[in-house]
Amino acid sequence: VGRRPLRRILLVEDDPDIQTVAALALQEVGGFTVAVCGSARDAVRTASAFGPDLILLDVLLPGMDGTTAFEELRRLPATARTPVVFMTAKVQPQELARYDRLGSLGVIAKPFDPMRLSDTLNGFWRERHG
Amino acid sequence: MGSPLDGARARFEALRRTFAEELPGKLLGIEQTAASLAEKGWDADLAESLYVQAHRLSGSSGVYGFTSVSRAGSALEQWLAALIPRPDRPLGALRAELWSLLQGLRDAFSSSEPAGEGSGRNRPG
Repeated sequence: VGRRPLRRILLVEDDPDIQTVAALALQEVGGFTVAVCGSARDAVRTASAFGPDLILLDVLLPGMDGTTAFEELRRLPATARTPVVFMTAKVQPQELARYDRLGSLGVIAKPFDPMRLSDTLNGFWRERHG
Repeated sequence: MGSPLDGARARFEALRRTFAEELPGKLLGIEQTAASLAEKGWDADLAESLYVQAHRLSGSSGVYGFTSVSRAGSALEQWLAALIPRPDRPLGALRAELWSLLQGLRDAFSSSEPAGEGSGRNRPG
């Protein structure tokens, strides 16, 4: 993987208001190519074809929650090793410990600053890829 | 000619204005669900629906700069998160706590000033 830049992000978020502002931030501030999914099931269906470099995953999602989606995505060959960043208001110490145990790359606490979202993700990416 | 970041800021500001216009409707939805819950007594589906509405309001209003609304929404969300697994307190006490949290939400909305220019004009009367 080396030093290749972060380019493609799969955004999984069910709230349309946050979906809109996060997608705008990632596309226009970060310059990323973004696919947006409104549910975990949609993300599991979409991920292989889109081929994201990174998945930005809400935790409280209808139907299948984000941590279950994480495990489902790990079972897909195309996303078995794709870095996942959780984006959530659930940031109590025991919750953060759970995301860490799952193997997430990082956590973005809601509410987040849209203008800084891309920089934060690039920071996580650099930590992983040098 | 403005930079791409200036363009993004302008679009964020437009989104924030739209969100401000829609905020009264979101609050009304929460009030209606809460009123149904108080009227019917404990109902797990209604409580779950109210929890999701409060969670969404807390997250989205924070992202759009309505910090006090976000905090008040989070307080309602946390109260419901603790209550939903064990709704065993007397209904009268639950109603009183629920009205207090809703009043906190109304107060936060009435006094909120989002962080961008031109927004925050569309408060309920």
